[in-house]
Amino acid sequence: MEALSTATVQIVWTIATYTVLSIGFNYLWSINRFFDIGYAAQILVGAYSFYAFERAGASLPVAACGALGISVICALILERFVYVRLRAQYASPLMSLIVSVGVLAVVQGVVSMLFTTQSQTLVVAEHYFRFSTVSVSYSQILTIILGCIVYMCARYVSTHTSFGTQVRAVQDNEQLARTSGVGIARVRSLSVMCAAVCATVAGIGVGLNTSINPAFSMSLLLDAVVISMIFGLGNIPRAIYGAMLFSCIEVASVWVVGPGWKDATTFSVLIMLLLYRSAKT
Amino acid sequence: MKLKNLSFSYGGICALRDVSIECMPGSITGIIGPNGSGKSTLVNMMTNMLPTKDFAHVQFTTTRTFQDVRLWKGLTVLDAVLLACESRGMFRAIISTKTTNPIAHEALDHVGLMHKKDVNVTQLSYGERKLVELARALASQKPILFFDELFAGLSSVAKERVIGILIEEKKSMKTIVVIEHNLKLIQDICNSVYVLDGGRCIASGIPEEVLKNPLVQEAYSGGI
Amino acid sequence: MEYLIHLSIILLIYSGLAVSLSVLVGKAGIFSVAHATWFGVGAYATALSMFGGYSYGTSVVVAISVTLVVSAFVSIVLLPLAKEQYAIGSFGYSVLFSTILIQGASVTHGTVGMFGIPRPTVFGFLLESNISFLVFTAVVLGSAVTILWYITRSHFGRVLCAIRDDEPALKVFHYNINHFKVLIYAITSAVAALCGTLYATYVSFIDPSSFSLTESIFILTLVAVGGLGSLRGSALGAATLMLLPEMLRFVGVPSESAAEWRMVIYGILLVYVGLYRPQGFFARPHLTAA
Repeated sequence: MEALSTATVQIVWTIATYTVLSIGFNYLWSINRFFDIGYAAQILVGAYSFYAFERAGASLPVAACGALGISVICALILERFVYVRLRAQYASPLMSLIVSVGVLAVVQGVVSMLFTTQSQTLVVAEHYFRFSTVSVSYSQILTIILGCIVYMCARYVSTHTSFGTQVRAVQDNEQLARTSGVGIARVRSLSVMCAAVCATVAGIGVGLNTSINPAFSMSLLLDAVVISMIFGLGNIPRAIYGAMLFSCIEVASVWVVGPGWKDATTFSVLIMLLLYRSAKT
Repeated sequence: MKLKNLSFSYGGICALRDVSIECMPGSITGIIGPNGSGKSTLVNMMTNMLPTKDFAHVQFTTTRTFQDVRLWKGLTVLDAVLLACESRGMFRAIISTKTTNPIAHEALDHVGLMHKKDVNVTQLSYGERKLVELARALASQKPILFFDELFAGLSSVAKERVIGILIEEKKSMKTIVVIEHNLKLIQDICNSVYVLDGGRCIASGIPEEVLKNPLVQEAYSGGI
Repeated sequence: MEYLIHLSIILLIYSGLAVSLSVLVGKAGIFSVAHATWFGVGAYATALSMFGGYSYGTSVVVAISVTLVVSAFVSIVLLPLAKEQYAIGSFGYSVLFSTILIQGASVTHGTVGMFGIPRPTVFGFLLESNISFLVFTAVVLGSAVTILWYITRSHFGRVLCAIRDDEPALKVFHYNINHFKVLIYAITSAVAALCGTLYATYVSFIDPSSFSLTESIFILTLVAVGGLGSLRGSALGAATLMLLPEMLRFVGVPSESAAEWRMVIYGILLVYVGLYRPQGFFARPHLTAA
């Protein structure tokens, strides 16, 4: 019974984290239309900024706000100096992918220099709450609450605001959106900021629950790609359904084949999804 | 080439509906119609770019040029033409290091681009690239040739040259299908013409009669 | 002098990897980010075969055969995917391979790795000295690269360029494009595996970290910096970037942080190439594969 309760909490936490992760990736996909490996760099920046603030003695809310700020600024700088130029020269998706790999390599290298390649924990002292047979940590509750807030905000923005409509318009046909009066640069900047916020929240959530190291974000990025593809790339409101399905598959694979095969299972699902979608078109 | 009841849908959108076309060897057939009438879909089906179960046997006897010129930017003029006339087998392709082929040279000579055979295709003008496409289609030596808006972007001198080539190919008993918007050209060179509108064939016959058809005038030129 | 010979051997091996990936990504437009997987398959197959008592020659045949079969299978499975999706799919099987290496510890020794891989004996001559191994590596990889160069200059190379630039247009001319893609994928993977056989018998120790996604990205960097689709450019790019750690030491960067500095510099180079010189530093301007 306790094991089942623990698994349930783990699934809920995983759903919350992956939902946020997927929403951020979908925002980037909407404006860039290529698999941006730089999203993994944003996760790293967010998580390690939080770590740096915490180590400097900041409280959790201050560290979180500081991490969000730094992450958003870095994302906007990348957008302005790298991705704008890539689009201006009509770079192919292949070249864009290569550049985004370069961005991740730079961030990974800098993070490794500043914080070493060792795994770091984001929480010095963890509190646990016990409800009947369920034991939940403070960081898990925080991640679940943050995940719910991010999802509800993203869903509302996507379906009830002009920004959400504009993001969809840019995703479908940027030229037409521009001709229709949509401020493309503004939409891109805001989308990049949303993606940075999601990346930071997800990175901190994972770091609070497990640990962080310079290579952890790549695995998260690939999870985000799989989840986003389940119900369609760029579909922000449905990210939670993809996260639910993916979380169940992941937890089931850990129970059935063991934690060592988790990534292999993820990718098997990814490859099958890609092939299924390819067969449909 | 006899095509009967050709149909194709893109998802839920019907692009071609029960279109029947007959083209004889040694003739030039024109296909005209407003934008979105299904002309490109027809050509794509007949030239292996769209799947078709019933007419797969036709696909192996056809070649084409494209409305939007499609040459491979990493290749030279001669390379682009050689792709149409060299071996298709992958193992034979590995052992083949030929950089000349009399068929390719003849085709390039025909279109007047032999002097640019070693030039990268991206360095050619639009009209020259169209001529390379024509040379490529000729070099493939297929009995059925589809030309999709071949004359767009050509100078008057080049147009005359191309018309001369088409008439020569016609005399060699090739089956030529020309998709065009230039109605005068259709009248001048085509033996018969088919008019498509909304995925259906609304008229067919000799150009002079077809172009006088009120249905055709309404669909194609707005009744003017 | 010994150090120069060592550097030359490693340089040749990575040049072989870079050139084979350049043909795959640059010439054929098949964006694989998992070239290190085949490097690893070759290395592990050789090590396991030699530990099983087989000669180096037999081990190489085994390694290349296994690679040809598995890479052809993977290529067939991933064929229907568009370019960027293919890249993500290739991430996938790279992770799968790493997982198999780690989880299959009873065979591969997991993260501990395999020690004591013997040096090869070629025609009865044991390549114990580094100079003899260098000559052997130069001959073997020189032949492999020559074969790749020949392929790119043949009609097959012409077809690969067409597949890269506009695959649907090539369909009109009735080329069986899938066959060409599978064959070039298998050939370039076999060359990577050959590099793996040399690497395993030279360093005599292999572990999963040497063939991870990071390594694949590093090989991609060599190619992107040197020039996608340019064999000469890729080899020069490999030479330049492999010498980077030496240059870093020369300017006084401590060896503890050399790996991190390398990563930063490779990343900057990739971004610079993508933004300002997509044809690479050593390729001719019109050879823009991407």
